[in-house]
Amino acid sequence: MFLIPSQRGEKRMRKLVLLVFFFVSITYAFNISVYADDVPDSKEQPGVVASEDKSITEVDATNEEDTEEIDIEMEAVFVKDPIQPFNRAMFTFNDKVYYWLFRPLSKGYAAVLPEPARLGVRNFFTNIRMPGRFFNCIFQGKFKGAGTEMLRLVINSTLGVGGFSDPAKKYFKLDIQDEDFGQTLGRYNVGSGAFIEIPLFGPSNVRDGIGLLGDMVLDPIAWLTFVSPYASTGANTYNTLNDVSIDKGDTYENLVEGAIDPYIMVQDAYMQNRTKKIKE
Amino acid sequence: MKRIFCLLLFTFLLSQVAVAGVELEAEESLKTSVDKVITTLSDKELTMDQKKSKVIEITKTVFGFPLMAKLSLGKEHWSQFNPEQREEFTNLFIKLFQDFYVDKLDLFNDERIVFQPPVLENEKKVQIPTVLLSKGKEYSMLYKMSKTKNGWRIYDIEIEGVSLIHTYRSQYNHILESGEIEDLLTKMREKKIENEGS
Repeated sequence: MFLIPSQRGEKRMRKLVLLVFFFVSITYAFNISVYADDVPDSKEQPGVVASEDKSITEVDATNEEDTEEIDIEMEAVFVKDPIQPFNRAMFTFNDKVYYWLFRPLSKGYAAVLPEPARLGVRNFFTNIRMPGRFFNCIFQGKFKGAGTEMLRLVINSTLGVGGFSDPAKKYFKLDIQDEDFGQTLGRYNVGSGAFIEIPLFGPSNVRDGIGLLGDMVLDPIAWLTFVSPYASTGANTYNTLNDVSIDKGDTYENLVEGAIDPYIMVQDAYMQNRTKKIKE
Repeated sequence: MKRIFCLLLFTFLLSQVAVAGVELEAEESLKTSVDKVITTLSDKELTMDQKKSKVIEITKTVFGFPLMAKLSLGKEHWSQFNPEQREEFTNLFIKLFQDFYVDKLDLFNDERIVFQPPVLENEKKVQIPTVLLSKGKEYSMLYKMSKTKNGWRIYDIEIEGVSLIHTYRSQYNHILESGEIEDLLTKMREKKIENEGS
């Protein structure tokens, strides 16, 4: 009578141990292959040539060569933009929304709420949006990144008092994994497609637009729509306002005000930034 | 055999040292300039205008402006410019870049720059990755430097993967594709006047 349940328990235990072992070994095997991809190709160190006795003209000549090499590396990438008139109109619209609505609002908001509180709000929203980053890490085979996100959620939700502070970064050196569905698609070689300026959102392209829709499924803020459509829209707007108030809008204003063609500037900066994020 | 091995090892080590020297030289020159800018900005006795003119002097010794101007136009378009146009373009480019850079100085307060190990591309090209810490967020900033006759000079800065020179080039290309060289220069002149007004 006494033995039977414990035997059962033991059997169960053994099964569980086996399962865990199986799981661990699988992730480990995956991890190995993931790490193998991460190892950069060992670059050959260029040999050192004695260059001291080169005459000035020769130095000049090599400089010219370098210039050419640098020139090629900066070759502008062709951005598909078949609906440019629409995009430019939307860009102007978004720009006005920013300057006439978000900018004055964020100034008022910043005057009311001190910066540490606003940083806390940003941390809260970042923490709550963990599912999107977590699953996109998994979709891209970045299991270590997914683990980091899981740990961050646990640490920040508890020690970080509901996500308002970020002890995971501060004390555990766990960096946020900036992944989204657009990047996942890019990882699987989906091309960016045409450039689109989305009203009230900003620069994007066909791939990242689809990515945005995909991410909504994983976004707890978007789930608020089931409660009330105003709830999610309100939360999103508030989040944007909060972000703008921390940044003081400097990033956008500087980008645009320094440019002779702000639309092209933003488009190019967006494309470059996305390319980098996909590579990472 | 042993001697050959030793010799090989020695040469290898020596080359490593020499190679490391080049990138450290570039890093050193960048660090000094960054430090100078930061000390200038945190100097409480200077007014903002004094700070700005001082910083412009410092940037002259660390940015390779002629190369930047040339790169921002691209080799193909550069060759279509005549000498006078080249000169005017270069001057306008420098002025606009300085306005852009100096404009940002007001925003600089509690930011910190952390240098990471420099990467050697070749003897005359070094990339220096840094991290800008601002309000609990990290931004990657990559300084690209090349060796000129006057020492190491920055030819491009990449912030979060966005190359500054690349964004300039896209804009200039866009204007030159649909217009004339003079159109570009006019737009730049207008921008310069606009900056002076604000």
